[in-house]
Amino acid sequence: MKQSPLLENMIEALRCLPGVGRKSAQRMAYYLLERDRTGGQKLANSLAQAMVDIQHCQQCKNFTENELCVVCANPRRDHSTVCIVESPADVIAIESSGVFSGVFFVLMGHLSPLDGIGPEELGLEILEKRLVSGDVQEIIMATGSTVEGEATAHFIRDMVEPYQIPVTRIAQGVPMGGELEYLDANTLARSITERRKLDF
Amino acid sequence: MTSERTAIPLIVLHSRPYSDSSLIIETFSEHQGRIPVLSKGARRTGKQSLRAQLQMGVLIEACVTGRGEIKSLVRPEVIESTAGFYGESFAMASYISELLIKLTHPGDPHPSLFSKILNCFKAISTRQNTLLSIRLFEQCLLTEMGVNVDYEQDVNGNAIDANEFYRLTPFYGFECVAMDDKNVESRSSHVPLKGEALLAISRQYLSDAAVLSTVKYINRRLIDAQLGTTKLNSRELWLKWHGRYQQTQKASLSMQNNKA
Ligand SMILES: [Zn+2]
Repeated sequence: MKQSPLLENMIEALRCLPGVGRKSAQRMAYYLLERDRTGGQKLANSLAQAMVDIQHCQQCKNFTENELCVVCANPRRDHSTVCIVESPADVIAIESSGVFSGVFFVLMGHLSPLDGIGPEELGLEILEKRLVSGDVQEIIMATGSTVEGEATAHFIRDMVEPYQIPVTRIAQGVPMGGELEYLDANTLARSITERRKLDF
Repeated sequence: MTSERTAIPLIVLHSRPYSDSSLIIETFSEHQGRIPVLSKGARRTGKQSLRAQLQMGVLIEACVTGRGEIKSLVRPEVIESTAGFYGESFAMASYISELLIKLTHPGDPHPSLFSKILNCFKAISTRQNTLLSIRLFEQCLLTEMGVNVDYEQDVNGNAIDANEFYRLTPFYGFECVAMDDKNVESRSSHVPLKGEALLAISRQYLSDAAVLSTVKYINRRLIDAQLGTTKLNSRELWLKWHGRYQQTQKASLSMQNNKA
């Protein structure tokens, strides 16, 4: 059944959310209208403002409404160590691990020619500008352990090579609490070839 | 027609995230050609090992269920994984997948391609016989597309002469290039092809580097004709990987100048 134009618009608009089909969109619309108009108003306002004001950080490409994001703008962080990740969610994940005090570069994806994503789409020229400045002392590649993530790491390593900046790759292998017998062969193979010396 | 309950071998061509926790995977089967499938929940926490397996070039065995355009992948199991694709190999492997995705239709059977694809991914990841495997794959793909080039007869029905030069016209065939045309030809983008090389190709004597590069040129022009205006992103990536070298040389020069 077709709804009134305003309601119809609202349902259509909600469908832009990932994994939301017409039915769920309808449910959300009714919920907001029936039970939480204030929440709905807040959502509308914050969306409207965020969609206009949030841009990419000029140094790391992460989302921010300022020229620099909070990490890049923080003078206490180690700006000579750059950790390269695929998404803003990866930044949050690494931040919550609490062991990294450097800065990031967020690719917003990985090389995937089949999806039309090449080096330009990842903004690598912004990263290269940082390399040229001479402030970067180490690059940590923290892209995913997928074929595309690895390819992206290699592409960037080749790009960094002439600047003679050491490039490291985050370690891969047995997860905490992982039992070997349940591990897939690839991960296990990787953890053996990249084994480390036991020194306490 | 195989039952939905029978597990079939599938080559993973490409996988990309779909909605919050799933993957859409382009696969290639022996008897039903390309099959795009949905692997529900493959990106969920705790499923990393599944995600690790569903990568380009990997041979899996799984059931494919459902009737829609995109079917569901059920109980995938790895039969053979690859040694990975690093550097340029990634661009090459993507090229294989991209050709299949852009030139074959889901569900169209191409049984002769299956082993060629598998060989290709293996060759690319182990860096052994890479170029030859890619050329054989391209030839097989072209045959499957219905492109049959006569390497023994020219367009006028004359036998290809080992000592003559020829020009390729896609959809048509080889045409003998007159002696005095040769200079004009070599200046244009259409390289004259040696009759000797064409005869070697027809006998599948592809071990010679010069013959193999003739095959590359011919395949490329025939594939481009099939693609029409569609561009190959993997080819561009490959060129960038190479172009990078010159760029980086320049960059390191300017670095040295800055420091000086
Ligand atoms: Zn930033």
